[in-house]
Amino acid sequence: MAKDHRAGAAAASAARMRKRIGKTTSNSAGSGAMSTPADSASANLRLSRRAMLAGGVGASVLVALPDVLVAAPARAAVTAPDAATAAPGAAVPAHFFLYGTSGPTSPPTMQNLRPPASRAAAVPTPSTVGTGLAARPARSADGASVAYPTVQTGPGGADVTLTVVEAASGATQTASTLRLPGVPADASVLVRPVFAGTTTIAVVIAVSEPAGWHTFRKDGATGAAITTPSATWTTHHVLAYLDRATGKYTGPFDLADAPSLAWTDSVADAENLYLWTMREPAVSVGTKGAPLPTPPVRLLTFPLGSGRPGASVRSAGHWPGGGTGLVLSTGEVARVADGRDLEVYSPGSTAASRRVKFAEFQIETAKPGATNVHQRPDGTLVISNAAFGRAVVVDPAAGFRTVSALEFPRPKIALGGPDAKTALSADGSVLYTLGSMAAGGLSAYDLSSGRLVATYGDGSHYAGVYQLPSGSVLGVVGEQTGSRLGFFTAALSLLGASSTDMFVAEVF
Amino acid sequence: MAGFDTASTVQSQVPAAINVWGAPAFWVRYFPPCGFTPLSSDPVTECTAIWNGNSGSPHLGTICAPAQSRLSGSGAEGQADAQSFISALISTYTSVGPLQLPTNGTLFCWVDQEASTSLSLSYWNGYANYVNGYAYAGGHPFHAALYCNPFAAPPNCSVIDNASAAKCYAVWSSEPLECGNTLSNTPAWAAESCSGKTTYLWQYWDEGICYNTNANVDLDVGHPNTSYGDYCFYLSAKP
Repeated sequence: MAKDHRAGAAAASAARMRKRIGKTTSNSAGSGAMSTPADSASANLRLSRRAMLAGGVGASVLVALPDVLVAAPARAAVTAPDAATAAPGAAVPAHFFLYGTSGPTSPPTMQNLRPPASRAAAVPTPSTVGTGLAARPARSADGASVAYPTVQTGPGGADVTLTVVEAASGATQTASTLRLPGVPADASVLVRPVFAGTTTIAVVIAVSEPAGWHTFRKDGATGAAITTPSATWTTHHVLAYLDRATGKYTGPFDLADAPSLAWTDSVADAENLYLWTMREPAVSVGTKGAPLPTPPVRLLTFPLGSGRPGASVRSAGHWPGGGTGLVLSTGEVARVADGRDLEVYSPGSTAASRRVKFAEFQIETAKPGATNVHQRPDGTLVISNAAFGRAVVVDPAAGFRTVSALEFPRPKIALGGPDAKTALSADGSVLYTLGSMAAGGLSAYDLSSGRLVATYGDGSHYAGVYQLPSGSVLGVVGEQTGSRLGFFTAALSLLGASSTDMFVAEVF
Repeated sequence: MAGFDTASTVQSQVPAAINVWGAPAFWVRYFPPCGFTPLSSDPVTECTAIWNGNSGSPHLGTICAPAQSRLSGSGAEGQADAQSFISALISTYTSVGPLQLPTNGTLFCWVDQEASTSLSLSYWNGYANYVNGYAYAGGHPFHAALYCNPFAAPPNCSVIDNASAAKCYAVWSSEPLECGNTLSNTPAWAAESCSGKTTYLWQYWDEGICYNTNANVDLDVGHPNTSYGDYCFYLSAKP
């Protein structure tokens, strides 16, 4: 059934042509200098390693962009445009944020605005709010704030700075630095901010420390052997909690959980941080001659402000991979498992989490696709998988019963680019999808009837779709020298399009 | 040498894919980090299916597919992805008794960069330095490699060509598609490439675009002057 929408053989030739988009000429990586380690110079090795980990070349960038195509002059309290789905008169954020890598120019710019003739909009002016991000940003549940981490390592330890930006103004609300003494300068520091209620941001930090730096000559399949640096890396986690009002941290708390996988999955409510974590399998599974079982994934519950878990249960899900979970209307917490199931846990329970499967998603596919989960105002969830070309509405309060199901044509870009392959209208009634593999564009479906209610096509294959807080719809297209943004009404009428010379990986 | 890659489990495609295409010389399967069922979640069952599918060439290639937006990220994110990938490979290797490392000491460890995904140099270096430098089983068998569409518009394999980039040992090209060929009748070698890097594997059939068969697999062929199976795990016996 997954193949219902696939292009036939007759379309193969045309598809081949469509995939050949054009030779890349730009290079976001820039030309920063990183020395090749010398065989015996361990100091140089560490320096090189530090330079590589710190980014700096082709570093991530976060850009605030005013929603000028729909916003009224009083941007902090704009009202939804006609046919948009934000609540009438509701105050909505006037900025959204582009996350990605900068192109040839820095800071990124916007060009070539093409609004309909009836609108006299100015080219939106981007403002860079952060560079050299240590990890992708996080957005608060209400969309009012975005937090991003940066890391600076040095001889005395590591400084982790969390910057919180307001969507209303596009300006920094707070930037607070947490000192991690004793972290070596060549450590790899991975930071994940997790919004917890309205007052706290939990900060989950994976510190990977190298030992035994050396080099060796590594043979490849062809060509000369390469001098290659090597170290043994060991990871542990640190927690801290930022009070958004005071800018003060509680912590850091060293979880003393080495050796762990660096990645965790996480979600928080107003009381607890829920953390999926795992002992590092590579050093836990024994040897070929004497194998040991792969360690289980654990789901830990930390009361906010604490470094000691109040509960630890076995997870029914997969290895943590940097995912963000959900707090459901039932009070349960959940995360996507294997791209097709949900793993659900009842806070306070000492029982393991459980796996919830949906019959509509128990299908096979050659190509993977991104899975998106949206929460509706009534507490139900919309789960979509772009490779399956399917979405289901399920009700957590009714044992995750499937309320309705939707099939849509598989898009050409089911996995690449931004992870957002579907978007949900603010009232939860309409699901926006990428257009079909053959036609591209965007589509809108009424979730109650499954009916296609709107389409837009300009020959472009969009890679991501978002509903902006103002109610308009944003589509992202990858182009040779950056990304193109298309702005639409809720009915997918074009409001305007503009290009940027940054490569957009996600929109917040 | 031609074979399959798939996001499905091998056991779900044996014998269906073999009935359509014939027996593959290798399978390429996903490992963490990826957003769907990885081989490492039930490695014995999958490896048994590989053996059952073609005991004469039971090779297993390895790829990870992080959330694509992450490939624009930091060195720490690239390293964390590599750590998960290597852990999954080692976990699989130790848990499947007859599964062997390549005899030439070179296991290509592909990271999936889709055509619309931008790859940052920081991410690549975090990934590739960890993979290339990882010591295991008395050597350094893991070799960083990139699945990509070399001519795709956003920054693609231009990053691994950067003078500051960590070594990329192989490219797996998803272009061009040659939808008229089969597993036994592979196209003449015409895979796209990234300057300065050898394309070892060519995905010449994309099931989602080329046709509508009963098999959920894509078709791949190795470089004619190499044997891609030499850079894969292999099974010395039925698990």
